[in-house]
Amino acid sequence: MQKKKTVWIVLGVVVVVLAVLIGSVVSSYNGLVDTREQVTAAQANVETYLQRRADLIPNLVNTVKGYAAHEEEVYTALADARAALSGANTVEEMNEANAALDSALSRLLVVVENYPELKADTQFTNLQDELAGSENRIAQARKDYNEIAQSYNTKIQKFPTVILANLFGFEQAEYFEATEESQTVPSVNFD
Amino acid sequence: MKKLLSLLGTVVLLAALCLPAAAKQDYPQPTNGFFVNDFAGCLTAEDAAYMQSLGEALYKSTKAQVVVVTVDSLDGESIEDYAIGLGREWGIGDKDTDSGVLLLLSSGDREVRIEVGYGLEGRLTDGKTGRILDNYAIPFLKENDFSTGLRQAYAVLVNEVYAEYGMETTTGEYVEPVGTSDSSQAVNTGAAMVIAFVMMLVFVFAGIMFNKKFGGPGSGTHGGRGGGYYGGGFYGGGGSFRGGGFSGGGGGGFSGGGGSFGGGGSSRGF
Repeated sequence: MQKKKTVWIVLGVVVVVLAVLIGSVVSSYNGLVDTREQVTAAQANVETYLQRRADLIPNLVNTVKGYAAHEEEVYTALADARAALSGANTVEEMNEANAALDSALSRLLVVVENYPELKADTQFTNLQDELAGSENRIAQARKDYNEIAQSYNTKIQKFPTVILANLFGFEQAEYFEATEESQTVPSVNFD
Repeated sequence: MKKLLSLLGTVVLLAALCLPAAAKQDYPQPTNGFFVNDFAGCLTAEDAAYMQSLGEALYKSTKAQVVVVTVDSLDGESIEDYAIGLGREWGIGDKDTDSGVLLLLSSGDREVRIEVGYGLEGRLTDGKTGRILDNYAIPFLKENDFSTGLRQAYAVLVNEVYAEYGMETTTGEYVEPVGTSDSSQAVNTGAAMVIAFVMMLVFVFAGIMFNKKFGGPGSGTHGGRGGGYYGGGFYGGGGSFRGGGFSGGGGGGFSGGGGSFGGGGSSRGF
């Protein structure tokens, strides 16, 4: 009788321990899924704003063309970069295409400096505001993405979540990096 | 054991709470009036009271919040980052619709920005906020008349937000935009003025009804400049500390509704 009681106690303890273990595994797994979703959402946000900026470019080019028809090189570079951006699938490709777009845009803005009438055009000021707004949104969305990606990456590397992460194939999120190009203001000279 | 665990939990929680807070820029706390925060002392008492009354009326009828902030310095941050940080921290605008607008001026950096919450980005596009700054604020800011520049931009922003909610109203002051005088705009303005006048009548009536119901002194009077609002006890001193916890008007305090920002709007140096 005494023996049977001990067995039951042991069994009870085992069941409780198992329940706690399973419970914590489930909740930590769900936590991982939630965070991963947040990362995806933040990435989609960045993509939306990148796309938004790219969509401004045809209008911008048309306006600039009205004043500066002979800057074909810049227009081609812009068109190429825009096409590359819409074809980009991974964060890395997107970073690259975006860097190309950044550099083409800054070249366009250098060109613009040579056309004072263009700078005074309200249509152009409008587009420039939209462009600056898009860039600001991109910067902000990137920052938000990187923050959430960092917390996710830290989470999946920590013990014991790392076991789960490996088991269920949670991969590291890539960071969006601002390129050197986009951080430096294009230099303008009037030679 | 349990005590130890809960103690440990508290410590961890506290640490988690402190870490991000410590890492971020320290923004000033909003004043009790919330809509006008003249930390740099750029505004005349009259303009501040006027903007406060517009802001309150707008908030009462739409839940949208248009907030003006002046600071001496951005502490080395870009005005874009500062505006979004402050806007998010204060939670300007309604939580569900993100209907906040922040008009921020740094007198030291000589920069101004209109930051638009997600919910109003459709109405107040970046191009439009840029034009509002160019036409209404910059000409005055350049002359160091910060108070007039901000008042005009603020009034236009409030009008735009009313329009977003389908409420064509006027802030009681029509300001001729500087530098643009094309005729189509004049016609539109004329029509808008007529509609605005009708709306104003409606609002005045609504205001009377509202007053009867809640008995608040002067609350809910749109547009009517002589609406008796200035006596509302919000701004007594006229120094730069107005509203800082001394608002005597019963229930006069306002605070952020929890709205968020994504970086929409535009900035200008002057």
